[in-house]
Amino acid sequence: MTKAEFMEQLRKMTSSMPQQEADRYTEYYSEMIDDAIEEGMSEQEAVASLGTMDEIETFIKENSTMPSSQSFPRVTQYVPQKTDKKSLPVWAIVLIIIGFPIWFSILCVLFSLYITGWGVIISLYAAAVSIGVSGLGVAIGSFFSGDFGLIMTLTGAGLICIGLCVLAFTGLVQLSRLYGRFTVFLVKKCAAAIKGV
Amino acid sequence: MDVQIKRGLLDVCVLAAIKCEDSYGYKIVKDIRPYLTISESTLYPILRRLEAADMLTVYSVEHNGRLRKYYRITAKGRQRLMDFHEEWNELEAIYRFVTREENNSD
Repeated sequence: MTKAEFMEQLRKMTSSMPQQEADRYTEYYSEMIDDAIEEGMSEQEAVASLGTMDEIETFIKENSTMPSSQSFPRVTQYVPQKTDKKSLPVWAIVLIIIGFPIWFSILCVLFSLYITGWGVIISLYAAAVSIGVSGLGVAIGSFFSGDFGLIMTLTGAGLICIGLCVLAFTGLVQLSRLYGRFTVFLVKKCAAAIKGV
Repeated sequence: MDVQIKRGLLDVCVLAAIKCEDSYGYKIVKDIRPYLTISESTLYPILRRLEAADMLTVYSVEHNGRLRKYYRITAKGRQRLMDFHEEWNELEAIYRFVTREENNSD
């Protein structure tokens, strides 16, 4: 058999394979024949040295039918188990559904506690403002009495109230800033928890 | 030789054939033949397998107006040969176990 005849038969044999696979076979055998001829064999001898066409067909069939685990016995591929955080086990989902009345009411209580915090801060502001305003009112109002001693006393008391108001305000601004930061922290935690589930 | 044993040894022999210098299919077959029966057709899947396992890489070189594929051993391929060297001690122990005298224990 000539090389051309051999290659023709080989191409027929591999025609059902993906083009790339088939090309690899023809390139491989073509190279083998050329190398054998270069070593001093005749073309006929070189082709014959590869074995009969039937033998080659058996080899090729064995290679292509071999399951990948068998054809790569030495490769121990380590495939890390994917820890899929997005899927909860069934029992957890059931618990979440059954426990809805409990965890939802707890959530509501916590949320109302959080809102109460803002309420306290707002009422403290109101208290500070009212102290300041009443202080101002007392100081101004005292002028209408015409009594010098009363004016001095009440103006002094009014100024003290205004001072307290200013002091309270600076403290309250700090407090509301802290609570604002706490809010940001809470939102972030909640977002992370929801993502985690 | 037993087919199963030969199968494992052929992988190592192919790696050994390219460990000193890169080689090509025809030469690999020729170099292994004195030790194990191997044909061009049996070499093909071994080369593919070793390539898939990153134990060798393939590149083409022009030779006499045609392309010839050369195979080069990788670090992983060399590691396989080192492992074989260590496995040999175990094999020797197995050999002694298999061929021990039958009336030794009496």
